[in-house]
Amino acid sequence: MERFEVLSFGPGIRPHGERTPIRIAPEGVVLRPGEPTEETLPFEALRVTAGGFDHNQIALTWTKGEGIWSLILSDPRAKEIFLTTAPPSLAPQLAQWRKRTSRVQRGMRLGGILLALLLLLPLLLGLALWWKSDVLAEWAVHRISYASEAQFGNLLFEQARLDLTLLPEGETTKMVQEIGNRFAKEAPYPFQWHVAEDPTINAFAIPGGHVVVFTGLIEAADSAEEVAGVLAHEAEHVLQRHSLKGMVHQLGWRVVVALLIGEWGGGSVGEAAAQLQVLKFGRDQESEADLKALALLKKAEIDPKGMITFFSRLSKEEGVPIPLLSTHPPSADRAEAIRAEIKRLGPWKAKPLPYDWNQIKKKLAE
Amino acid sequence: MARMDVIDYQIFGSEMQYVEIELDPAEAAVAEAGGMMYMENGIEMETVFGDGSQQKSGFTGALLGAGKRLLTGESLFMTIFINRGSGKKKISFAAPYPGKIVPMDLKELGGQMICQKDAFLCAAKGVSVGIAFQKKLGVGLFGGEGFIMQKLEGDGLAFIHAGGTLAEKNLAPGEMIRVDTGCIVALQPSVTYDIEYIGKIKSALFSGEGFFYATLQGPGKIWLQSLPLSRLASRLYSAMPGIGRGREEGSLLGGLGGLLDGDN
Repeated sequence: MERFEVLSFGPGIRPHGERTPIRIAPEGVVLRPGEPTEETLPFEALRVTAGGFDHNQIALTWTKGEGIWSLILSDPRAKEIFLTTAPPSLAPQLAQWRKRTSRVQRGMRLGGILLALLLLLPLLLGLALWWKSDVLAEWAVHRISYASEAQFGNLLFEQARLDLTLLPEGETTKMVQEIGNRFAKEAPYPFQWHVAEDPTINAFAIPGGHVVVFTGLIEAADSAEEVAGVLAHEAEHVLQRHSLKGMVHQLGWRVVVALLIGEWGGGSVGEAAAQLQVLKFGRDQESEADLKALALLKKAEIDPKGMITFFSRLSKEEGVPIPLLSTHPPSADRAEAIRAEIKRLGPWKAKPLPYDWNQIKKKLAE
Repeated sequence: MARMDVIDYQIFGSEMQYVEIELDPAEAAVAEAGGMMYMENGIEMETVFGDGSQQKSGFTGALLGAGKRLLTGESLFMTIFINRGSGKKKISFAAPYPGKIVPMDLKELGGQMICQKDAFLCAAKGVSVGIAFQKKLGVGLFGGEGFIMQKLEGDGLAFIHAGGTLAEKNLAPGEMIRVDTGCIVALQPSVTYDIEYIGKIKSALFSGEGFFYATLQGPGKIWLQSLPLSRLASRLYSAMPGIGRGREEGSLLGGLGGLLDGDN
């Protein structure tokens, strides 16, 4: 029979408890077994309560003479033996004990979960955003009206303009505006087309309809159709609200980062504008812009071959990375996808663009 | 259980006390890093990661112990003071704020004590300082001691420290005492620690006692402090020129504000 050492309390003994050896027998709890002061407490005389700091000890209380005595079972093995050997007469009290301890345990689990949730909330939010960020960004973008988008775009353009040298009105700007406006007929935005003096081969679109083409791109193009391909592509970025989505996305991340780190990096319009040029569209967005651009070209009756030739020629040029291509899908796949889309749309009759390309290039070189 | 060292001690001072411990040759004491006041020549100091009670538990064990110590608000390290000289040497540890130092003979108390976190001052080598996690949400939030308390285990002598004057009470089986939250310093694990709603909304709001009492039900021994450090601190803070009233102790918001911390 197993023996345990427990603390017992009662009148006349040390107030902080006396270590007492006990044995749990079928007839009751035997105090100091084998010693001359051995004493057996019949189960019927015991009152069972839950207690202790952890609320899971078995406190056995009994009266002897005038005094109240108690002993505390905290050892898990002792508790188990007591629970199994106690006679049915104690069952209601034991059930009460079980109820109390399990309630504390449940409460603790619940509290733990709540606490963990509270601490993990920003992290969970971040995860949710990472997972469903596209959907969330799309949902948020849907809530922005075209008018306020255009307003926001104007603000961004005013900022971006400070870093750009716009080409004065002339043949080149006229050509870009004319080609561009052919795509903008049904657009919900007042599209505005600009040419900036910059030798890099690049073009970018601002939400709300500002599209900027660099002179470097026009110089690198071999025909007006090639420029038209790029313009259609950029117009689609605007129409599909790609940069807006990107910004909403980024803004959302900032909120999450602010929650996680507790810091809000200064988010001024100027900074947003500065980011605009480096804002990378995803590859999906690029492909989407490519394919939708073809529909625009078809509607405007412009030959789509310019788009293919321009991108594939640029990608063949080794050496200096071209900003327009650095964020775009591999050009072989890209050309393939474009060809497939043209086939799907069905070939269309294209009118050649009425511009003297050599003249325009000469003008630019001046 | 590791081997315990038996140490002799003497407590000096009345309101701001320090305890002087006499170490026999090769005897050692452990203390919270930073608690030492003076030591005689011949005593060597050694800083250990974790609580120093288990020397052979390996790196992960030490790391776990250290992590627990972080939870109780202790520093990661503990200092062991060993008498390497010949003959008895004295070392002393001072209390960090006005209050009393209480010696506790863990062997007599059943091998285990639970005390307010930060209460531990020093002990004979072999006493382990762990955490006792409050399992009742309500008690953790409103009981005044937070969710985490210190658990001292072993058979040796340990010294704890608390603010103001300490009341030592013995609770008979079933005897219950209501205590203002924040005033509990230490209790035997056989004591049931719970909270009780103050009863009337009027008293809850205007009596200044907060919404809950802490209740302690025997059997077992408890220690209560008359002046929790937070109370002293809030009085000092509100008396500071240019700052105004500090946070009220024992209020609902205070409990929520220091979700993990409790009152002290």
